[in-house]
Amino acid sequence: MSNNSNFFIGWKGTLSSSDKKWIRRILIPAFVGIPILLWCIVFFAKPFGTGVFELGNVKTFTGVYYDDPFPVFLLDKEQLPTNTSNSALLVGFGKHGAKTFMNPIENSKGKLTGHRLKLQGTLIYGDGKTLIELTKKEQSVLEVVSPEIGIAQKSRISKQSLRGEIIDPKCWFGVMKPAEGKVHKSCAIRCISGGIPPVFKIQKGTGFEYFIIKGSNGEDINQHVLDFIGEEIQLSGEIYERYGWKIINVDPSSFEYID
Amino acid sequence: MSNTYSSVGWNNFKKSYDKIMLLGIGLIVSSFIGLQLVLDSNITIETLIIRTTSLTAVFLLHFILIIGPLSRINPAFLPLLYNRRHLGVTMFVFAAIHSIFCMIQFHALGNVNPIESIFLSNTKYLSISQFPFQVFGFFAFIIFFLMAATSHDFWLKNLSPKIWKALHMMVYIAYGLVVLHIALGILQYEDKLVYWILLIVSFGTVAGLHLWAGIKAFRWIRSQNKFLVENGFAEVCTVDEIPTDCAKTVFINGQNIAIFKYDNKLSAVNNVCRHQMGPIGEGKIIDGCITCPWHGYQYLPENGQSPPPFTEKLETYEVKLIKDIVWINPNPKPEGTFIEPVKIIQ
Ligand code: HEM
Ligand code: FES
Repeated sequence: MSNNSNFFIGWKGTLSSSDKKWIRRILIPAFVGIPILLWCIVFFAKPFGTGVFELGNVKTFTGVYYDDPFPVFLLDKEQLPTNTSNSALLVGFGKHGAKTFMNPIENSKGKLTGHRLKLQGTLIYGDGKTLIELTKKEQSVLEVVSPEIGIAQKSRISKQSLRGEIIDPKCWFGVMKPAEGKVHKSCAIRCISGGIPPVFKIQKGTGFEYFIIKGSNGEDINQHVLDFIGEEIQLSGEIYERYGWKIINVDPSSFEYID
Repeated sequence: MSNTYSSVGWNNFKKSYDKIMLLGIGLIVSSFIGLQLVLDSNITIETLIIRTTSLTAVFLLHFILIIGPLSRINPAFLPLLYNRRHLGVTMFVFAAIHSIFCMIQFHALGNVNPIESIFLSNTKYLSISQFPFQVFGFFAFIIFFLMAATSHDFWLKNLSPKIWKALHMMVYIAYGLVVLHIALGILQYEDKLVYWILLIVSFGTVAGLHLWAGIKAFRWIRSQNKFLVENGFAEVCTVDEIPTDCAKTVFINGQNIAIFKYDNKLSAVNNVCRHQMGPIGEGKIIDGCITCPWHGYQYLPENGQSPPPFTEKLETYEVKLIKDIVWINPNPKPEGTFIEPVKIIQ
């Protein structure tokens, strides 16, 4: 009775053949277009770094622990991947600095700086640098082997002005990609406010150079750099080297944005 | 009365709709993951999940948003609209995976709780380029959640179609938030021009189609202002201008009316479907019932009532036929009021 040849009623559960043809005419180009569009999106994206975070692979390491000017573990001839430094910057689990867990450990085991330890954690490495995450938190130190004598010498101090970006080293050297700029800003702010040492990354040739940031008197200034993280800034300070890492002592009130 | 009337449940069309939808999603997900692993395999698994799910959600969101105006502009797109709800809920699932993964990855395990971290890590609310874009994503996520949670017809009934529709119109706010989330987020990092072009073209398509459909509706309403009114009845058209089993729609005194011609008779009902406010006048008479083009709700033309067991009711209007001219009284009768159909004498 009713002429409903071209009228679509979903609950009838059928499509007329002309409807089917028409839908094919819309959907086929869409299905061809999607991969092309996605190719565009992937192709033009910034490349990811080559850093590695051995997530889920907690290993035992031996070496010597120092807590100043930053928590560091000088690894023995461990089974480290080639081209990675044996001077591992220590960071905590999640978005915490190593001291969040080392302080309670020291409260029960006594001062550990300068001691040979057996320690468990997860390796992070990239761009020649090494870090160890204290994945097991307060259970990270397995054994205190012996006190070690002798502290690495400070290199000569030079004064320099640098232009670059404050990053959090834990994410940058392997845990997250991308780990710089706007998309990573909030995360880096959390990590650095949680005690992970802020690192200043500058462009050097086609690569990067890194400086651990400390206050003018060598104190931690994590809470004073938060507003500057993830943006291009200029800073100047005294640079020296310790445990294979460059360190810059700066006054955060002298930071300048570059836009 | 119609014996083919069935509730809106599962059927073959719905199943093939979902199959094609899953095929499309499979295509997006597999092409993105495949291309990413071929072109730059240094990506972390977390970023791969975050980007795959966000892009899939954004593709689906655009599709969802353009099929509305497309089917207003050309009813041939109506089959794509029919099961949009499944598209919406699926879109929410992808958006939710992205949102929750981002909250865990970037905001959990720190010295404050993740929600606080979204709002208070980056506090540059007065800057444009440094604005904490995650906040936009967070509110979009909340809106999508509310929509997905109330997507069932149970909520449509419980909240009343008006409130339900208002809630679901918030998809436009959510879409705006997502555009800002992208523009002030990833596009502040990926600075290639091609991404801006993609975003602007996508946004322009959604906005342009809505504008087009809106202008079409506006023109129609404006064309409705010059009726000759006599004794409370307005002159509409000649009876031949109404195709059999279809309607002529008019907008008089704020009343949106559909006048149907069927079985050599005329009846008029309110043009707004009680389901999701679909345009009843763009529907047809099928098995003696006015059938809404959107999801197939049915009403009897002479009293505007859905046949039992359904209970939806439309306002009805008095129609007059003088010679071959159709006249309508724009004062509505209460919902479900029986009005004797006007016989067309040839
Ligand atoms: C709590 C809610 C959300 C948070 C915290 C959040 C966070 C983020 C972050 C951090 C990025 C950058 C990721 C990267 O490095 O690639 C991003 C990107 C993106 N977000 Fe969200 N987002 C949220 C909700 C949403 C929602 C609801 C949508 C809409 C469907 C969305 C769509 C996107 C898109 C399309 C991108 C760019 C592609 C990508 O990088 O993944 N986001 N979001
Ligand atoms: S709006 Fe859904 S059937 Fe009319």
